[in-house]
Amino acid sequence: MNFRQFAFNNVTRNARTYLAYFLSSAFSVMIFFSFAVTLFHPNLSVVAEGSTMGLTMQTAEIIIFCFSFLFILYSVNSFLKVRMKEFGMLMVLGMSKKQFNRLIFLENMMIGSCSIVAGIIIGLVFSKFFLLIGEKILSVNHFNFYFPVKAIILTIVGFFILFMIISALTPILIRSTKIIELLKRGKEPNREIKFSWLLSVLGFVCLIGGYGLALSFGGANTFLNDLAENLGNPMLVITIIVSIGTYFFFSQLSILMIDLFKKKQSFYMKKTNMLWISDLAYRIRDNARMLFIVTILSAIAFTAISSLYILSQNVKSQTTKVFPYHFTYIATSKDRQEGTHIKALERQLNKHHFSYKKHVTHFIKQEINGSFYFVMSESDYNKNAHILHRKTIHLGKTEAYLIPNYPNVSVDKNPFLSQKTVSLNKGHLKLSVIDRAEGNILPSGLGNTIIVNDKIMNSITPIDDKMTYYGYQVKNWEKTYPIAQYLQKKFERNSTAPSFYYFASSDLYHAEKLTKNLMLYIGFFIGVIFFIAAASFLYFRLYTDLNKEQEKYYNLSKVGLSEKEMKKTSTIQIAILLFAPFVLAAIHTMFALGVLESMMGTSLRTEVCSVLAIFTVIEVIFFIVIRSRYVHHLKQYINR
Amino acid sequence: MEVLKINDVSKVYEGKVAYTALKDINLSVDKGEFAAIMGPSGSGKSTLLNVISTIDFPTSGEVILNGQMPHTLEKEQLAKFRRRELGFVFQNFNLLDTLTIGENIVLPLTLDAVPVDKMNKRLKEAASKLGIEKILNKRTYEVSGGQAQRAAVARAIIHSPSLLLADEPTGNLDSKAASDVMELFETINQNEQVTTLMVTHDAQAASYCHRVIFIKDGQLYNELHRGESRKQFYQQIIDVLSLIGGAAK
Repeated sequence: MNFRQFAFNNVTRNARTYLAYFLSSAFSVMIFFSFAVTLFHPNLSVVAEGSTMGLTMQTAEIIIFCFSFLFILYSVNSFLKVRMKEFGMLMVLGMSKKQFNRLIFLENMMIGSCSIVAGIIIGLVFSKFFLLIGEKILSVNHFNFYFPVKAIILTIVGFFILFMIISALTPILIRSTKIIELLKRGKEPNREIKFSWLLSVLGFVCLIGGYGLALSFGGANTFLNDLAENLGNPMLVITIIVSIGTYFFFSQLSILMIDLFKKKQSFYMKKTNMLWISDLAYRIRDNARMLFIVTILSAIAFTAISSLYILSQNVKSQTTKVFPYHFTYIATSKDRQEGTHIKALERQLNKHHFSYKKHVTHFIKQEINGSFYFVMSESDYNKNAHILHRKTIHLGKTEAYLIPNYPNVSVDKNPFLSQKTVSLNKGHLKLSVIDRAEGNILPSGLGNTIIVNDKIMNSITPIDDKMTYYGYQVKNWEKTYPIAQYLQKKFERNSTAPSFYYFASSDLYHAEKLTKNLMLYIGFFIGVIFFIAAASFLYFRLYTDLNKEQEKYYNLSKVGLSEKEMKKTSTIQIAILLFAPFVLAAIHTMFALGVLESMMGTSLRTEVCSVLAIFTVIEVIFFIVIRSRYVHHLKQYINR
Repeated sequence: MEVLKINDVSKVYEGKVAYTALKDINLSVDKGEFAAIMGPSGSGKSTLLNVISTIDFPTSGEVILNGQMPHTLEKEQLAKFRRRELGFVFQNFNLLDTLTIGENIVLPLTLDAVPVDKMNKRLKEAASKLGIEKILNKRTYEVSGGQAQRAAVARAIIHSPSLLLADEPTGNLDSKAASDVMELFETINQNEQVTTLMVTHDAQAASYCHRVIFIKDGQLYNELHRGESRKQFYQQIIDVLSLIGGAAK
């Protein structure tokens, strides 16, 4: 047996010990590879080189890679911790530091190579599934299976380098190479458990306070609302407060709660309760930092995926706000093709059997102090307002009504809307502003609009440009994308001085939907990685403590703890360790999205619930798998 | 000739309250000698063994092993020193369960990059000396405690070390397996002239040795030399132990 064979035997003969590390590595490879398969798909024209979406996807791939790196590094670290005693023994036998490094390197590279191969194979098996999701989400046609040579090469090269770096880094992670410390590792007695009432209360206050601030976002004119508005970046402040609360929740508050349980003798002394409660305090104390990280990682994953999902669901309503009409044609007085264009548009709609309503109004473009404004008469505005379900208005001769360029504009922060008076006709006509609209009535991007009394409208001089506003409301407008594109090509424009403007909602909808769906797709990948990583942290931790637990249950079984009771106590413990961070993260997510809800002014409950429901299912599957493996290990040891 | 010489070795553990585990120990072990260190728990006997085996470092004083001072060596040199000059038998065997018994035994040679044919020859020799030829291809969980300890002894002597150290080698064995292993130590010591030093609290095990060194509160207390009769030696050991409060098994 030479040294290389020694390393090889070490890995192959004890697959069980290496399994967790191998699986988490293979999983990272699989996710990276699956994403690469999408990225390099020949039919994915949207990620053409240099395009924004292409860059977005490439960035996402890099993020996945970096996270994989940290994840694998953590896995390797916790996996090596279990083996400290073994290393100590080898050093007593005369293993030098160099040989130790070489052993780690060889082992890592063996496991690494295997996990690259396994990850790619699993990825290939599932690639049809991922491509199917991709096809649906990215609305790309013919997203069929192909043999992803590029993706395979990228994955192999990328992860080979990753494992090289990790192999070089791991010896540094095992800081102590003093044999005596390695041999005694894991034998330290448990210190006394302490908690501070002050910090527990602080944690509680932080959590409640953070949630309170989040809730107060929508509330009108409360003290808290003012406070939230004055915080500068309220979201950041809330995040920090809640994070602090979460940390103290695990490091102090939970210990305090367990202590209270202990004091309630009738509960504590009942059957096997004492077993898991007393042990739980140590487990939480020892793992407080890890539980905190798991909670935050999960909360990030949930919040990101939920908000991306909401954004992708929200595109339709957002589009109708940006373009009030589904097809918009605005003809200037210089437009000679007005008739033919309108005819062409209507012919297309008829040809494809779309029923529509046409609304024609007029407005004027005028220059005031170097910037352009649009002026519309009160009656034309009311006509539009009636169709678009906006507030109709009544103006006196000296009054004006202001309409912003974009939807959801706040009056205070917009210099146009916050004016008290407007002057037209080169300052000869002064009107006082009586009210403002919150959203545009002309397509966004055109310009700010001023509504005036009908009689005043006639006196507006000079008429720089008189415009005709054609608005079409179309049933099933989302499906008019081919028409929109056809017309886009047909209507050739002089870009410097356009004689007409043409907008189609389906055009914007299509582009927006694609971007948002792409973000959802990416967010889904990254979110799932975060979440799985969080769950594996817990699994590694349980695995690290397994030896101690085995010994404990072995001794307890000698004094008469039945297998059923052992199962029960360990199940309760695993359930608490697994679900406490999950539930807390879910609560965080609900409050975070509450803020989003009040900012967007719509109810997002169904979206949030469906995202959380999916994650609950994954978490429960995790729990079942981890628990059964754990109990299996315990039983095996006791019955050996 | 002295294989091991310990001059004024002290070991102090720093902490809130500094604790002196060893105090001015002077000791020498001759070539071919078979010696045991005994003492009550907390007397410092394990610390002394750890210092001799270079697992731990003395706070002051010097340890001279075969003419070298291992604690002054550089890390790489120290590793080489360990794998060539020392053999170590642990209480709980410390065999790697990823390896077969045979592979476990040749591990020191593997670390020293000894050619494979030479390795196999040495393995055969060591295995026959210890009577474990038949279990070389078995895994650690397939053999009994006595067999595992034999394998651990084989691993400790396969490279013919200058000094064989054993930390409670019979601690995890029943009395039959324990006396088997002790007889083995005795045979190896006689036939191969392997200098052996062990720590034990088992008077039965210690009675196989030529000399027993008693240690109490980190200081040498007394030593006994074996006469003709092992039984008589055992009784003498028991007497000293009851005097210094060590557990007599």
